[in-house]
Amino acid sequence: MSTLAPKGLSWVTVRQFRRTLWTAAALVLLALAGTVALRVWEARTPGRRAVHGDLLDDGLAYDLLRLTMESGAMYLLLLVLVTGAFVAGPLVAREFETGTYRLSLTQSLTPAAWLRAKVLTAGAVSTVLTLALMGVFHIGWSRVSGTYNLAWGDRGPYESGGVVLLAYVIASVGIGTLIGLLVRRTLLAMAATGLVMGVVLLVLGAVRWSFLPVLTVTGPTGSALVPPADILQTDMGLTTRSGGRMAEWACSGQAADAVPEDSGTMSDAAWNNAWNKAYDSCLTEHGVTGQYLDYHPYSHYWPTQLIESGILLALAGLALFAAFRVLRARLP
Amino acid sequence: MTPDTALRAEGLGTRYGGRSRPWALRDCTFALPAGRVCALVGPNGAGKSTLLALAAGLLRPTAGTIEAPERERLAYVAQDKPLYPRLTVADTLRMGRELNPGRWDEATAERVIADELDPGSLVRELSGGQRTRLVLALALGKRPELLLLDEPMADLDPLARHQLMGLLMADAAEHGTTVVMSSHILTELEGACDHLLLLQNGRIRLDGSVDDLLSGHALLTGPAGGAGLTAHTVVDSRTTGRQLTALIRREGPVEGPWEITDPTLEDLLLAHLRTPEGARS
Amino acid sequence: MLAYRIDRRSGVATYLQIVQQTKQALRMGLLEPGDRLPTAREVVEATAINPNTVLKAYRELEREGLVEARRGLGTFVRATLGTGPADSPLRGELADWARRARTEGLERDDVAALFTSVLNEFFENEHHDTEHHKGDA
Repeated sequence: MSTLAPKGLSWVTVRQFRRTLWTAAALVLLALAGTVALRVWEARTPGRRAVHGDLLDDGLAYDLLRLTMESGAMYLLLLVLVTGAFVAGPLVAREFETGTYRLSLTQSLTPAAWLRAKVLTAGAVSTVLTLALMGVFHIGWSRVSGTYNLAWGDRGPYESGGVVLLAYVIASVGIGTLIGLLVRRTLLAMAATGLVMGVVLLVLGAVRWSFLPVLTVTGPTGSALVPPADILQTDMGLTTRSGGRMAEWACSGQAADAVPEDSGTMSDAAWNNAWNKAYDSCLTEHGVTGQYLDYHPYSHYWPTQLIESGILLALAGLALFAAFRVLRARLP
Repeated sequence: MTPDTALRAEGLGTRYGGRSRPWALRDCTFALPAGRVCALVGPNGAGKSTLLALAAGLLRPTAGTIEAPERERLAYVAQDKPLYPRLTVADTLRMGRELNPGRWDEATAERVIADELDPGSLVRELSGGQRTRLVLALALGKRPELLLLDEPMADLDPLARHQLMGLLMADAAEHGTTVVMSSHILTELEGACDHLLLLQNGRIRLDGSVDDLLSGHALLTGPAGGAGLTAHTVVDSRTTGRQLTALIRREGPVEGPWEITDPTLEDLLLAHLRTPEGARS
Repeated sequence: MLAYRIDRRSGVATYLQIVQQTKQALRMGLLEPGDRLPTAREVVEATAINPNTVLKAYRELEREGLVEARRGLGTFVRATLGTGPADSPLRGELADWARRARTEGLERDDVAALFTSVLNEFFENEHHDTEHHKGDA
């Protein structure tokens, strides 16, 4: 037997959940096969082009690949919840619910060693699983990245494309362990961990683009701003003389109020004229001098990933520290 | 802990939950000499399982201390015989080997299994008696110095009970293992045990070697109002018509109009359980 | 090899049952000097009684000079109990007596009670003796 084969409690854990592990491995292979098949099919069916060469559409295979990657990115986020729920429920809480912890903990192994083996086994297995699924995702995503909903900064591809997904999974192992120890009821612990990890995903998703200061381009009103390529736009609007910012739609709203859509007998040209006048006077009234656009350049991608991963690993560490404290308080 | 004491408790008490909850175990002080086979008896809810879990290091005492061998050197079988349902019998035995490196004795475990269990069958498909056999194999395979068994024989038919009790006794004879076995049915343990710990309402009512306890008590029959009883501690007495039957703790030779018989262990237990706590001096 | 049968309900102390059954085997010639008694482990595995009970019984037999323990080897028979091949005069007299008791209309239980009471009368000391030893195990 190879030296990599699990020993002691890791062996017990792997043996206990062998069906779960086989299922997970089968799912990875299925995802891989599906993604590769889509890529091969897509490569063989170029989009339809008009006679003068313009692309009419991308073809069914491309669209299907895009759709699959869009949902695939979301499934990868689900992996975070599933891992946490699995660790909290079947791995930890069930031991207390069914009393089997009394079997393990009266063998030649301390409670701390018992929990450590569980955490390490779960961590190792979920790391391998996550990396494998990220690899599969990259195979599909590399063809369609940058398209709608699939840019580097979009929720889903952002997490699944970088290390932060692994950090989420590791955090869910830590938090799942703690919740499993505290709740000690399989289903309840699973639900609670799923909920907590969902909240973590939402909260970090909402604040992650505030980690680094945004860059801004400004320009005069009247013509469209030209932002750099490959950015994540976070905000755009108008700047005023006093240095303040205004929403882009603020003056359109005011103009629409002043010149109602159904203003009776007015001709279209007259209406347009009146609307533009109202709009311009609104701009003058607020002292608008130009427009701005806030964005993150692609160079912010990895630093943001690393900061978010750091936060998640710190969370995992805290949760595990607390989990070992809880265990020690309960068992001599 | 001295080498000839296997288990010692000092003022041991446990309460599940906060201060408002009743004591599951209270003021327990005893020392069990090594090599004894101890019956832990008492009515349901007397605190037997709590005491065993404390000895196994699975509970923290609320008060007092308990000294037992460390995890490596003790084995514990909980009342509900916990096992991992998705492991096979062979897996479960391998678990014993994996989790007790350097201690595991495959031959002993195999002897308990005794071809009664198919190595390939899943634990969750085993009957109650088969589960008992497997947990006992796990416990004995570890070569413990102290073996803690909570209601071990409850799921067994008489034949298997006799056979497994024989195996336990053989292990005790061969390795000098100290055994503590709980039961609320004394006959299950009589004959196998040479030490007794009687619990009632979380307190110890009797503690000592069976021989000492039996020879320290006497069962007296005689006329109601007969003289000479006051010299002894009357544990329990009952009057039927003009005849009085009393179980006493001897404080010297018995004098008076009494017919003396040796009490059985059961007489002793029943007499003590019938007397409310604290009625004894 | 001798196999002990333990009767939990007999009221006779377990170690005494072993002592008595060993003596019975010696009387019947089932055990002879040089024979090994079963080890404590063998006895308890078959009977599910406490090992110390067996050791106590063997100590009692040793004290009476019937067996000897050889360290690491086991317990061996030293002497035989010479009461009563089946045709001894004592047995004949007892058989005569039993026949008379029966013709006088005594039931089996009556005979047993009579025999026990006489036995207790004449062997009171020995009974006392074993009582005494019960305490110091």
